Amino acid sequence: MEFTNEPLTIEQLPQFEHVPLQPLQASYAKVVALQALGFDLVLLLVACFVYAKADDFSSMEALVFWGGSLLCIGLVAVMMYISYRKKAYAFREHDVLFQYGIISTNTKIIPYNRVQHVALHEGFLSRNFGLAQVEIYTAGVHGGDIKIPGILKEDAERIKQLLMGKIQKEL
Amino acid sequence: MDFQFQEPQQQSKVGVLLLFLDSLQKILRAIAPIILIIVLKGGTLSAFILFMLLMGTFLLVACIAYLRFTHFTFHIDRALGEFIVYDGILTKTKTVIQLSKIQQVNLTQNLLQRLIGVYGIQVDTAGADRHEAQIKAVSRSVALALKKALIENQMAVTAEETLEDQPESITPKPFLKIHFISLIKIGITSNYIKSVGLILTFFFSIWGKLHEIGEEAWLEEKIAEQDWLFQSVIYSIVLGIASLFTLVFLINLGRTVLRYFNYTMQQQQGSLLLSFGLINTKNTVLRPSRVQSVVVSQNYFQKKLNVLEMKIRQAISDEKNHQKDRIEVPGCNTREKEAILELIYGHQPPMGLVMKANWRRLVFNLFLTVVLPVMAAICFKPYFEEVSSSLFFGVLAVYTILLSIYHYFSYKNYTFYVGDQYIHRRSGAWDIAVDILETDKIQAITTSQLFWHKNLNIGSVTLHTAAGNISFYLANFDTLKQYVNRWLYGLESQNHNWM
Repeated sequence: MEFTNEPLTIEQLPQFEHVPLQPLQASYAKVVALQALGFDLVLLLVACFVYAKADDFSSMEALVFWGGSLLCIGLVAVMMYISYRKKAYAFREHDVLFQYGIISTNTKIIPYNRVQHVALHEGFLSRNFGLAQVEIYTAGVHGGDIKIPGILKEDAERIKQLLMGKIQKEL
Repeated sequence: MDFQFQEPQQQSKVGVLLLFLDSLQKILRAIAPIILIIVLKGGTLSAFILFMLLMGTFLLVACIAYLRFTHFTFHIDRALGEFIVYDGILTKTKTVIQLSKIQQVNLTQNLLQRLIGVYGIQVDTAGADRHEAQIKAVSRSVALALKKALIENQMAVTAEETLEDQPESITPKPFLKIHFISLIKIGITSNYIKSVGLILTFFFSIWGKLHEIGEEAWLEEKIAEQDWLFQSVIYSIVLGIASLFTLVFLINLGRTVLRYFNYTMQQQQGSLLLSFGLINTKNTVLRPSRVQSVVVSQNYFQKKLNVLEMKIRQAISDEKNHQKDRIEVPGCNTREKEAILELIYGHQPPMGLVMKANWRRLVFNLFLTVVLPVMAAICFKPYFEEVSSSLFFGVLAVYTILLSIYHYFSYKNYTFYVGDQYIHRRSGAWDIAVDILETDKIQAITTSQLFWHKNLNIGSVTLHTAAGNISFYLANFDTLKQYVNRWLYGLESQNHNWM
């Protein structure tokens, strides 16, 4: 076999920004919707409580109060939806990519040889939809971890096995 | 003389004096506010009471010190291979340390110990974050013999090969010693803001203590009595600023000297042993393999005086006790800095390619800290009727100018240097800090871009390490992504240890 050892330039290196990303399971949208609903209900209750306590609202003030409250409630739902839509992930040969964010787009990358351990987490809501969250931990102290929600349980198991295999091999 | 330490033995006789002074110091610190109040309230009767109080304390402390001395014994049980320390007057403690588990035996000497001519001994084992056993006062010969006895055993248990290091480990060779003058230089040129904070906390804690005993009116009265203070606004402002500066100066100086007095670094089997402190001597270990990042900081005055400060961050081993993994080197010069970097990295980390942040960073910071607060202040102006317009706008103008200058310089200094092996980040307006990070120590990388920056092609990057994050905001995003690819390539193609 012919041996080559061409110099590498930066342009030839694999580019993380062009990796096609896998979106979360569609059924996770239901989980997010339920979470948003629960959160909004709490907000609504708080708003009702405040309104009932302060009975000296003029009609104008009441209008502003309820307008603001409903805006907040709507905003929470929209932000949770955007956050769900933005989340995506990819497993490459040597690292894992996770995209997330609401007004910003963040991409976190963890090389497999920096992974400390991997965990599966099943939330109460997610479990009913057969979904799980894959958690990948490094020794990084502030935000060095990746948590990918909305993955089918069996896929999550397989990902965990894959990561464990990679970690073993890297060691 | 031959020391075998088979029999339980006490500390050096003069040690009683040390224990006495040590206890006295603690008690005096505890009752200082009460004494202060008695003295300030004055009166002949209270002077007598004060005298009696002090005499009583002295006698009590003397008794306690003597009992502490007689009840403290230590010995080595060769048969069981244990080092045993008995301590305590009413509640007795017996500390047993397996000789084979002993990792380090440090001799220490703080100011009191030096005056009396005794040494302290600290015995460390693996795992525990504090000293397992501590002996406060023994003579030099006993201290050296005990250290030798403790370590000898460890050597015999572990391996033959380490025996060669034995003479070195008993009397380690000094690597760096920070001169008193360097400490003074650092003391007068750094940490102004911290000291202002300290003064405020001190003032408020006194206030709180007085409030507890219902005497705060007295302090208010005292302040109100100083009516000369309020005769002229300008005069009192100038006086206030001058006295604040003097106070900050003195506190800074005192704090630095107290904390870092006699700062020494000793080389010990590839790692560095640090000890410093005037009253409480602290000991820490620096292991080059555990170092995750280094920060070198220097301001204009320090540059002129050729002193700088270093912070060395080790991998965080204990979530609750971060401080232990952060090592500070106050007041070393350029040559010493290079020696420390040499020891950690094996060579001087080379600076890489220069990268500057987009001008939007300056604008954004100005918007956040100048434009928004000033607008808010103007909106709320009608609520401050008692403040005259000229004073109000004067304060706003000074605030705007000062912060603008601050942000301008911090933007000017904000630079990223990207090399093959090392990443440097320069930041700060007055105290200019350079973070040094070896690319192998990166645990994870996050790139981040706000949606309105997409077309402008600017974004940020955060490098996560085991000792914290290093971020660089608002730079050319394409270039950043290229660097990320290169770092990932470096991390993934080789398998370097990060710890």
